[in-house]
Amino acid sequence: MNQQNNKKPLGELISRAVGRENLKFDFSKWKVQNQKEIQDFQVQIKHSGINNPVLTNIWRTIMKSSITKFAAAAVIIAVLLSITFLDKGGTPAYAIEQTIKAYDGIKYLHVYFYSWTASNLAKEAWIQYDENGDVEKIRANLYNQGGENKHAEMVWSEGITLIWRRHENTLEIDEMGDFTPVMLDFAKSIDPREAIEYAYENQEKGRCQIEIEEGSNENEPIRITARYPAGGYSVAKSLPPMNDVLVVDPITKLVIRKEVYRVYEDHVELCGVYKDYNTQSFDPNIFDIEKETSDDTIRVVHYDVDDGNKVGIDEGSLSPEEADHVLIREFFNALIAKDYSRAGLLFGGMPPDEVKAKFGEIKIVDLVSIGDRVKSGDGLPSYYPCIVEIEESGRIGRWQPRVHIGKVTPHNIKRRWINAVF
Amino acid sequence: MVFLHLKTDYIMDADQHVRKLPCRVTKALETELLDLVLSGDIGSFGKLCDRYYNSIVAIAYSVLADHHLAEDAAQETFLRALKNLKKLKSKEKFGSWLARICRNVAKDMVKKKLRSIDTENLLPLTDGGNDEQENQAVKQAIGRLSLSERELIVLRYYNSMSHEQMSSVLGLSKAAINNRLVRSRKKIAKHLQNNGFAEIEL
Repeated sequence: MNQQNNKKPLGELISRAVGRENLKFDFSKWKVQNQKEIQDFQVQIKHSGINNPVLTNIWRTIMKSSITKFAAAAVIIAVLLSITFLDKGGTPAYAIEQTIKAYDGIKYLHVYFYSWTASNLAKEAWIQYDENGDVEKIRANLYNQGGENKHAEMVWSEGITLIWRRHENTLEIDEMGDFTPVMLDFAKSIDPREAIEYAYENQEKGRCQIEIEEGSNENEPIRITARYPAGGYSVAKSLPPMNDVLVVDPITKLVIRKEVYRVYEDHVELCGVYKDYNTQSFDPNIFDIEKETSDDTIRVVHYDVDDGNKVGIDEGSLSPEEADHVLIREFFNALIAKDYSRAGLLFGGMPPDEVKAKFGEIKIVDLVSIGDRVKSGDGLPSYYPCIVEIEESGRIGRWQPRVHIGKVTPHNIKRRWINAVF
Repeated sequence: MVFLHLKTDYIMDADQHVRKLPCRVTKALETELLDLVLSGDIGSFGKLCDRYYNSIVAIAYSVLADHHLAEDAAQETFLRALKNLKKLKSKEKFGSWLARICRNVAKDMVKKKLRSIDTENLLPLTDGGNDEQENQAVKQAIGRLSLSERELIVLRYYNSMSHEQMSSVLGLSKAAINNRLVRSRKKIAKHLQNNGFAEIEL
């Protein structure tokens, strides 16, 4: 590097490297290129009559659904003409957009999820929305994910995800945004508005049938049931018929809970409940997970590339399973050789001294075998059951760790790394 | 009589004295423009695009590291914004809403593998000389920043954007922008010093 040039101000160096002058937006050309979309927009503005995108979407969806013509007509009339439609009880008939509208401007959502037996608290989530209704922050506590009292507590904000494992005193930090799609999908899965729109999208595609059941009196909750046939509920084709039921408060029109049922020939079985939906504000410190850690918390940063060394290994031309086997062998070989730097890079970028603290006391002799990949449930990545020979008190013993693999694609290159070892 | 120059934050009055508009006046005008667009006036949308073009291209560039793709991303951003404009709930936050759309557009383009975003894989230099090597080193340093830091730096230096303009697309206070810029510049300087630059004037 020419030393003379190195004394330039930093700003000048950056401007020269990335700067661009004389940027001009050619609006006329843009209009020509997007003529159709602009015309559609103008037609929509002209004919909509309702300047409310949510109502417009629901109106269109209802018109295409299999709700009875009578009910659909009632909704349209009520919406367009603001005429109260009186049912036999003398109260306005319930319409889905009432629930969606009830969530307008909602800034907070807090909900519990009870899993399969519907009695075990499995997840708890807090979501903060911005003025546009977009997700701003998420906290998801996954209880007992790693075993009894081994929770994973995750916080997402501005594209960064922190995963706090209190029982291990480790904090994973993903600044690359790799966890962002997972976290945003999770937020969607518990947002009642998304649940309603998702159900109607599925009904449009013929994947489910929606029924709305109002209570026999004005104090009884309203139930919106989406019925899925066998194999139609999720990518797990082995599931039996399933019902998703949103239970709605008849007064506030807010969702009280979401019940998930398995449907059998002669009975239905409650297998999951999202409940105690709460839209009251909560302590914003709930998203400040760093405050819950301590000075000795092990911080694992995803893709610390300061030294140009990359975490994990590239898949390259290997199949995922082949790459995982290479990864696991390299990891244990590095531990055997006490190469904690290399082991740390393979273990999500963990600093060498922390790898040594975790594994240094285990005298690994050999990696005997790597079993077939096992899919984990509830958000943990899949793992390989391994058999490792270790030396203890002069004798050879066996350790059977479960090695969990993480998969990411930063910069469009598939990489795999060791996510956890239990 | 007052003439409004919508491309800048200045107005020229009938005596041809140029005065700087306070930010809130500009924001009010922006809200009016949005109302006009929502009543079908596409010309007003063009004025909004003009105002935000530089910053949107800069945000896209911070993800794509390619000038032409960044301009394509900006065009697509404006199209998506127009299609979804009715969903905008807070007109005062139009800038940051637009920025969010742009990030998604740029990330979609990355997913379609139009171009790698790894600035470390830039084409190798041949005869570019010292200036090109310097640019490469600086781009590498920027590439090592986090996504939000990179966006901030590119926004600042892509087209000499002011803190006020950056504040309107990032939704951050000027103080926060200033602090983060200082930190990011220090990181870049440190990387450059570790890679052969003897002295960097911060």
